[in-house]
Amino acid sequence: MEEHRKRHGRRMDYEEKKRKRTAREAHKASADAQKIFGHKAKLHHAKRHAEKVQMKKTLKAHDERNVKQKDDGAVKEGALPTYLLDREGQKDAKALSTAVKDRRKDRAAKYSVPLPKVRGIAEEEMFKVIKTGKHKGKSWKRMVNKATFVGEGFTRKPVKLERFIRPMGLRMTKANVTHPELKTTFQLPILGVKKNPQSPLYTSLGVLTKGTILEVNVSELGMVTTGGKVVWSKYAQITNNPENDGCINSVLLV
Amino acid sequence: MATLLPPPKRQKSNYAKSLEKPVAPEPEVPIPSIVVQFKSSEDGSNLGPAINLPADTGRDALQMLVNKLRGETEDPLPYAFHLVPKVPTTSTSTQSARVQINNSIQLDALKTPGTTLSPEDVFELWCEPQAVFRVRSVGRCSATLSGHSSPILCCAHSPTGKYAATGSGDATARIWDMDTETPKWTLTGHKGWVLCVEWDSREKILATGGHDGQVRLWTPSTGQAYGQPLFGHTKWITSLAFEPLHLVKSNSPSPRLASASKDGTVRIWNTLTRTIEFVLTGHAASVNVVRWGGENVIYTGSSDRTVKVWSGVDGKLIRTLNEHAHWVNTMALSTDFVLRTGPYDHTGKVPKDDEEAKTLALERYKNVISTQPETLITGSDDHTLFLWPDQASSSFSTSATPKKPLARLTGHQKQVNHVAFSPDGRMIASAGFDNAVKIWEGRTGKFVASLRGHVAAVYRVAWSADSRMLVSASKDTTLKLWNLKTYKIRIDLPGHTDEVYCVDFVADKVVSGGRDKTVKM
Repeated sequence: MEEHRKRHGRRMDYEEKKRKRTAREAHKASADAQKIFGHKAKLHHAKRHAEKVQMKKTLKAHDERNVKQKDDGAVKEGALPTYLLDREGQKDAKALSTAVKDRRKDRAAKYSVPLPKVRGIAEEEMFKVIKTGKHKGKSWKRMVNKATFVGEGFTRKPVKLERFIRPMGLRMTKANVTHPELKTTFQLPILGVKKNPQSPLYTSLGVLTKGTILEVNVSELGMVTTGGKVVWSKYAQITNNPENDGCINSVLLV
Repeated sequence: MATLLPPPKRQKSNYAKSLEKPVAPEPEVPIPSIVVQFKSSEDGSNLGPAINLPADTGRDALQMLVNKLRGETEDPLPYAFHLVPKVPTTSTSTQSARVQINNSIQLDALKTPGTTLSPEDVFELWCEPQAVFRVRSVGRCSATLSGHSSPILCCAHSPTGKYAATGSGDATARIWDMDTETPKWTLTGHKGWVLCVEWDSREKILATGGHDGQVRLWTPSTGQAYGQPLFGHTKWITSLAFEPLHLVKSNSPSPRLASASKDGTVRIWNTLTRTIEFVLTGHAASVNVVRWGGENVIYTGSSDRTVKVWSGVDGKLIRTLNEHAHWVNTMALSTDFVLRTGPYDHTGKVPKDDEEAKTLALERYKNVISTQPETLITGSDDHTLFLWPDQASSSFSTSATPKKPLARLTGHQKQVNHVAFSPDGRMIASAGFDNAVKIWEGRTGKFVASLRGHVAAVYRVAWSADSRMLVSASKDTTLKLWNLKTYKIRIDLPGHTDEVYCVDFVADKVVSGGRDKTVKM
């Protein structure tokens, strides 16, 4: 088509015809809208409705641009002195209800942690079955597939009797801990595994999966209790999958 | 009939009285005689030999004695006395480590129950000279001034005490006349909340910092803007500090201004030409507070947990102090009051010209420095405060390394919001979100007392000019005036209908403003 146009040009009355056609568009559209029925009508009307909504919005925007309004300087409400800026102020009306809720939670022993729920991990994923014995028939040994923490001074049990093997390559000693308020991250040594949400067995093994609560050594942060004693351990919760990343990322529970 | 007075009451006859059993007069308790050793609290030295005194010697008599021992009989100074019991008290935080002597040793120390002192000990009486003038106690609200249409965020009294300036969330600052308790000027021009307001020590310029990042200068006498606003900061202004009067160079008669902002920089402005002299960059987070010390040293405290010390001459970083574990919220210098009021003191003398003002200011500053070098105290969100030694390089003492703090003041259970040195530099008051105001010794940082009474977070504290009274403003809409002899509430100042955000103590008036949009005096 384009080639033909390039070679031969257009009709003589092309402009005239075009002008008249566009002039007729409005009438034609209106006639169509009134006459069509059935499925076609439904589609057309839905499309038209959306178009009209958009048009209304742009018209309104144009109106606002034209009207000259007194600029109130955009002075925001809720003025706060400098020491209260950047602090989340708790509204007084909510204070009582939150206090009551906190007390209820304490009684129900529900503690708020950054990751309250974690994905359940199947045993096949967690352990690899190790076949032992002269004919490799016995399969009571398991090797842990996830990162673990064993602690200083760890010595393996007699190898023949060891049921769970924790490979040295997957043992971790340090965690990258992020302070939620300061938004800075420190690399802190792990003191122990407090709780693994999957199962108490994993807690006792020291398996580190997402959602595990660790105890980390925070003496280098310099926090102090009200009595003047230096705080040296705090809990942190793991936020990544250490076996995939090779490192432990966690959030400090303040 | 004329009204008759009722007949007089029947009085007891002497006979009826004589029928009552005679009450034996209380046996005279022999007043023990004790040995007292006066010690000066500035350096711990003994003032004269140990003296044998009856135990019920009153405070005035003790005062006279100390004045005689010091040889100041012509110019007697009032003294406050307190004992520090030698036997270490069981560390309950309710008991303070010192026993204040208000009436006499017998009444305050020996007769109080549960005391471990006996008349046979040698009493070491620590004497602290107090200000010669006395500020009248604040009793009631004398004026409630409305006019702001938004919560009042900051207030500052002028160095002479004639005016008070308040900044509010409606983007205006107002100057109020303290003597007539009427509004004087309204300073409009800011495009955002007016967050901080500061007077210069000659009362010639008022500086306001806003949420829009602008610093504006005003002339208080005419209420007009003093030139164009100072642009440069990209985020809101957190704090302002003027150069002390005795450091102002004679060729540029206006003091320089330091403004700290959330964007992490501090800009030093020349108020005459309204240009930036230098910019102190280096902080990694918002600079929360800035102070200009008397030795031409600028201190800045920031949310990156450090305090940086800069030179006021060229803006070079002298030192970084990083001991805090959380944001540094507030800072105070022991010379704060003297530097703020400049040449004006309680005698009400007005200096004739700039030169005289400078010499007066220098004299007052030197007086305060002679007893105690300029110490800095910083309060932080980690619930503690740190007391730092003198940072200026001109007065290095070989014993204390300036980077190590003198003391760490623990005890608050929540964030420390405001800290203030008393005007004589002897005491520190700290206000925290745990509803307590704690008093510490200004020299060593030892805990003295905890003032409890507020039921919500305490936002601000202010000392009276004679260091005898302390007023605290809190979220629970009250202000409390504290008695520093008994460490209890002296007077409660209710009346505000919403949180009180700022308070300042002038001569004998307290100015306070808060979320209820009224200024109370």
